[in-house]
Amino acid sequence: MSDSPEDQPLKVLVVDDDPNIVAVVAAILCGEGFQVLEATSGKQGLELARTASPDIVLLDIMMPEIGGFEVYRRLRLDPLTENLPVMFLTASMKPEHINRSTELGASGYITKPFSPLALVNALKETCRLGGESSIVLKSF
Amino acid sequence: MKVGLRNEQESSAEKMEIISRIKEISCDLERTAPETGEYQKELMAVVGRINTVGRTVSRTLAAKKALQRSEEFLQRVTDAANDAIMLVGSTGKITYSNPAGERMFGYAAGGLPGREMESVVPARRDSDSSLQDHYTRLAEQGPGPGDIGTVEMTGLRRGGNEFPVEVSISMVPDNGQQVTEAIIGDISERKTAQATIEKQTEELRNLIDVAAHELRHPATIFKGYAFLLLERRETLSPEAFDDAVRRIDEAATRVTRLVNDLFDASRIERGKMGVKREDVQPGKLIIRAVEETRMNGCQRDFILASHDEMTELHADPERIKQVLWILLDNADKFSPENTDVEIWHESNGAEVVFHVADRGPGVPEEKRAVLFERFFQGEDVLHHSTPGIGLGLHIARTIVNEHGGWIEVRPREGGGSDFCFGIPAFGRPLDITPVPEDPATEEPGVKVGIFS
Repeated sequence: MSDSPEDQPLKVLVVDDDPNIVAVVAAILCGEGFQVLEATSGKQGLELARTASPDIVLLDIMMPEIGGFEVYRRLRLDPLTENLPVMFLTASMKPEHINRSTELGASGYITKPFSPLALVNALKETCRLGGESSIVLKSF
Repeated sequence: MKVGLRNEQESSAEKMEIISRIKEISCDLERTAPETGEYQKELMAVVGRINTVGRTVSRTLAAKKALQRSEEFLQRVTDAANDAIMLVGSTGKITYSNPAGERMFGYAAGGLPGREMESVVPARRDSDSSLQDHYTRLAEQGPGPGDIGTVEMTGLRRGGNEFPVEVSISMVPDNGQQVTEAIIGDISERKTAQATIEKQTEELRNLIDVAAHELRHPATIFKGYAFLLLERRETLSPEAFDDAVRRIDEAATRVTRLVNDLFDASRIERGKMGVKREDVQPGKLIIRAVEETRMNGCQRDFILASHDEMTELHADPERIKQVLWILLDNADKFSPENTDVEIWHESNGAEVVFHVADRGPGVPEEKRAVLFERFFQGEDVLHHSTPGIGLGLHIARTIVNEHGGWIEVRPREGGGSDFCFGIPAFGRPLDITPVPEDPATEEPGVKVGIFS
């Protein structure tokens, strides 16, 4: 992908318990030149985050067993993933979730349904800034 | 009233008679002794004073009667009141209670005066606000009428039962002393109604949250694939194109189910579910329900294991099928892949019992009773990975109840759950009728089939 410094495709880890959501996000991102890693549970997402060296994570919040905020906490505790940029991609419009995401220092908070182009741009921008972003995209 | 008038009339007549008699004596004196004129004047003055006294007596008597009538009226008003009306002396003891107060707190007539007010409306345990605090605040205001409004507290009946009350307290001056007047209402019914409304409001809020959350998923699918099909169509392989369309179709099914569930829930709430009974064959209903479930994209293997084709059922076929869809869909959602779901019916003549048995995780005993309640989900509804808003089993139970039947879940031998419901048959044994297009009837006498 031309936007990355090494001219390599950006590797995005998508973590969502709904396989249909993972599939549509993957289809969109692959079409835009990203490399996509797919996880349908928090546990699987944590494993891939450690082993597959993604550049960024798109993380659902409301998942059974290990929810998104817990996945985020564990990523930050692990030296291998402590600096990995994370953007939440969730159906929750709750202000407390958005505030918590900001307080935790997440790189972004995008609500479903999202604009595919806005998602792509947000990912590119966040990676360009090395995760130092705080993007909030709400559906309308 | 009549006695009073008569007394006044008699008093007036006597007075007139006295005056008349004095006038006669006066005339006699005038005739017989003109020199007694001075004496006559004195007599007339006496007559005038008597008249004045008479008028005063009449007014006093009338005022006394009016006061008595007023007191009797007030007594009737307090006796007839539904709320307790009590007077409390400066020592905190009740000096008066109307009959409603005695009934409310479970005392016989006259049983409350002399008792501590704290014995019927104790100080609130959960805060520093007690009746005594209110008395103190009122006392600090000094003599004179004062009203601190109403406060919700707990009443204590003679037997020890507590109940919610609303107490209105005011201070009434009486002969230089301060008397506390407490008007106490039993608000048990209001509290129950409030709790019901609050519960329903909370359920409605949850429903809106859950429905909104549930709709975001298919909306994401629609929006994502619409982008791909409109903007990136040239990059899609034929397989990717088919996959996109298939997922859009599945998402549309999910939305349709959600809307149907909401519509049915609304009809249930308004008591308009309704059933249209006709004679139907339970075996056919099962086959159709399975066919339609699979047409909606379900890939699960269903084992048809009915051993009875003799029975006819008098029921609403569409509604019974709806119950079966809900149970089949439920079994599919919560069963591991590569496990089958068994479905059959049986009859004892009085009722037909349908079974949908899965190899899912089962339902813990403590959850079986609430499983069919509205909005129940085995896990947090916003954190579950399976579609649905917790209305399906509630709708199923309502349909079954409308038929006069029952529904329950039992543990299945070997693991899993057996969801079963019974519908009164009201039918008659049928002649053996081949069921068209039923794989289970392909072999005579064998009524077990597999849908896969």
